[in-house]
Amino acid sequence: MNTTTQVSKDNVLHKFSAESNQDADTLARYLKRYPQYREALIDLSIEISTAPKFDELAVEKLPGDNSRQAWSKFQSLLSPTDPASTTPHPMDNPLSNLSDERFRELARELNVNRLFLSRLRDCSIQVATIPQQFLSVVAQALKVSVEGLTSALDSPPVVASGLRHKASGKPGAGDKITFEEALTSSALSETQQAALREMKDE
Amino acid sequence: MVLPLKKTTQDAEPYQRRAEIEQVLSSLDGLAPDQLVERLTCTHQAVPFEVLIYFLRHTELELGSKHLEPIFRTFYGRLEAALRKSVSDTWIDYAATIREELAERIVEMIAKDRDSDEEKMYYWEVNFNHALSNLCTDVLRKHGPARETDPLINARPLTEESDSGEEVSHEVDIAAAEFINPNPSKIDEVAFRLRLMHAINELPVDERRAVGLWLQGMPIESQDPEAETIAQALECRERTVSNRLKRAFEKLRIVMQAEELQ
Repeated sequence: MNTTTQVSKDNVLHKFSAESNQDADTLARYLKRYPQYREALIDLSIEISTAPKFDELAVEKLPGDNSRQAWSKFQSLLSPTDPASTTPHPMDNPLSNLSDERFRELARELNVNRLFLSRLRDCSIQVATIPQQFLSVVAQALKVSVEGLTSALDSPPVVASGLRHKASGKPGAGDKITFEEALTSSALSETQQAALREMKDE
Repeated sequence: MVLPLKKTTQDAEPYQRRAEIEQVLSSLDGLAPDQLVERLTCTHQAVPFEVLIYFLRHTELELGSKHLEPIFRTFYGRLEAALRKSVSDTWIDYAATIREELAERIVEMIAKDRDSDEEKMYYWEVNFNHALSNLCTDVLRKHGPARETDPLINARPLTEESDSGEEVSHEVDIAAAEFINPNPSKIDEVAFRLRLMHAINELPVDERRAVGLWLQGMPIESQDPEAETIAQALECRERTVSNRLKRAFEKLRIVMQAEELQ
């Protein structure tokens, strides 16, 4: 059985196009090995060899900058769930959907207590004050992107059912506490607090 | 880990990128996003287009707008520069419109690709030059050449195919010299190559293949029976190859000269 006939034309052509050195010797080698695709290989080799080397000219900076405008257009074409979308789809809060068991487990993994983690889950902490490193650790543990998590935690604070606010009006962004306040008021041990402070951004 | 191409062979093996592209991607793998952006936007040691395409089209890499924007803008700036040189105003009417259309199409393709599993743009990571050339050809076909009449139509063959005993290689050399002269280094210029590619694509298929192989450095004839020659590749006689080449060079010379004058 001739094994070369089993290789599809697409595979052979792709293999040729992925060769680092597409000179006449490479083409000759392919023509000998895959004579059944002779014409297609010749045509492809001609197209590739006559294609301009765009990289060589691309470093030249052009006067004027259309790239900002192009970026806006590009971003507007992205799906709302795309991590680079202009209007990021508010990700479902990944901390809200955890089972009780997984919630406790996550608190242990992060070396925090459940009160602190609840505050994080309920968007009670100002996201801008949360260290990036801590957000990264949480995102990694939840297998979500940091940006998605940040966006989810930036939502208005959640008021647990059954709780009543003494103040009138709905809770807003102003009701959120800082990360530091959350550290000191969540009954965390000194060691836990110190470990979390270590993560603070410079 | 560098994301493999999703397109696979019949044996379910992922298609490969060129070795040098894989190498650059591996060297960037594991960099923090800020470092990655710094490297990809560095103009001093610019990465190949294929590498930028890789980071632009895979949402799995989880790059948010903060990091994707500088990568995109670097890509777009370089793309515009390359198109400005290759689709030049002196060559084609409405060159600016054509460049705009090309850039717009590419931006739309990347955006669509980010939201799709179809892997339509995989080849742009393998051979960007070829992929962009093909797109240029499509767009140029749509808009047509600058000239109202195609000089190829009026070109007269120097000789008809014959078996006369002329010194074939010598004749081809003369025809080639007339075509490439007076500036042989032009063959390496991007704008010249794109015009040449366009002109070669317009040739009849037998002439296109002969000249395409000749430009790649394949000999018309060889004393070495093992060496691949154009005559062998095209399954015809050397004399036929020479006649096709002469005709092709004459046509290309007319086309390229006509465009130089515009």
